[in-house]
Amino acid sequence: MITDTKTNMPFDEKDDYVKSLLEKATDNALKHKSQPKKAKQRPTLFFKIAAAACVAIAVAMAGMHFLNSKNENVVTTSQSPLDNYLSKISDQEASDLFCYEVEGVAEYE
Amino acid sequence: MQKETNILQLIREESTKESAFRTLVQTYGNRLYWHIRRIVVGHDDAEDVLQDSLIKVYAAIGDFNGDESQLQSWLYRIATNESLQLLRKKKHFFQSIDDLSPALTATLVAENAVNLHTAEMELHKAVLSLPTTQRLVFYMRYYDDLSYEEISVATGKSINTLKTNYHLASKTIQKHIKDISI
Repeated sequence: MITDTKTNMPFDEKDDYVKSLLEKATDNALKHKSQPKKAKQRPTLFFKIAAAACVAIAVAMAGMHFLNSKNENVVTTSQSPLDNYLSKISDQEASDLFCYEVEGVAEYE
Repeated sequence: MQKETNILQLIREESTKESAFRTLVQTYGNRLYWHIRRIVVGHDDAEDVLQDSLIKVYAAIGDFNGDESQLQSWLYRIATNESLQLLRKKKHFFQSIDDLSPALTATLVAENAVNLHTAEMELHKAVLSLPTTQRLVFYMRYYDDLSYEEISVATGKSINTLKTNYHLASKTIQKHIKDISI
């Protein structure tokens, strides 16, 4: 035994005070448990489906836009420089061009 | 033992949980309060830790799988953890809880100036100078008469470690008291 002193001293709270403190803490603990939890609100199934659908639509639209832009590039680049030039001149001017008299070129038959 | 069995059974029933919890606090609350008070020292801090501890007890008691003999240790464990958690919040980043001894001693003296020159004050000052583990085991062994098995559950430390810590704590306190009485 270190010393004969085995009390709650030097703290000077009386038993009545501690008792009321415990009662108050008990009431608060019970209230705390009974309060609905606000922290987590799980989304409903409907909300999840709707969100997934929106994401899918957004991805599809982005993909279509990307593919369309690629197709436009293909159409543009598939034209040869000659075709591109010929499309811009009149028929009269085109007939004057020497290449129109070329035969046996499969590309222009 | 019978009382503890009844409390556990009643707490596990939804219809009697609330009243059983009140009974549990009436049974163990006083000891828990003083245990917390000795660790955190400050009166307002003790009140806060007590509140947090009881909230945790009520939230977790339904999942308590121990038997009646472990209930008290389990309660002490929650109270000890909450007390240490508060001390961790008070310390600076690079401090350890042990470094809080001077501040806790100052609080002890400031809040209990009426009892400044008493043997109890000197005892507490001596205990506050100890490392945290020694403090805890000393408090629970000397003031609360807990067994080493119960203290082991409350602190998560092995019985041999606790015995060593108690022995060291006792030696230090005895020397401290001897020094001041010379």
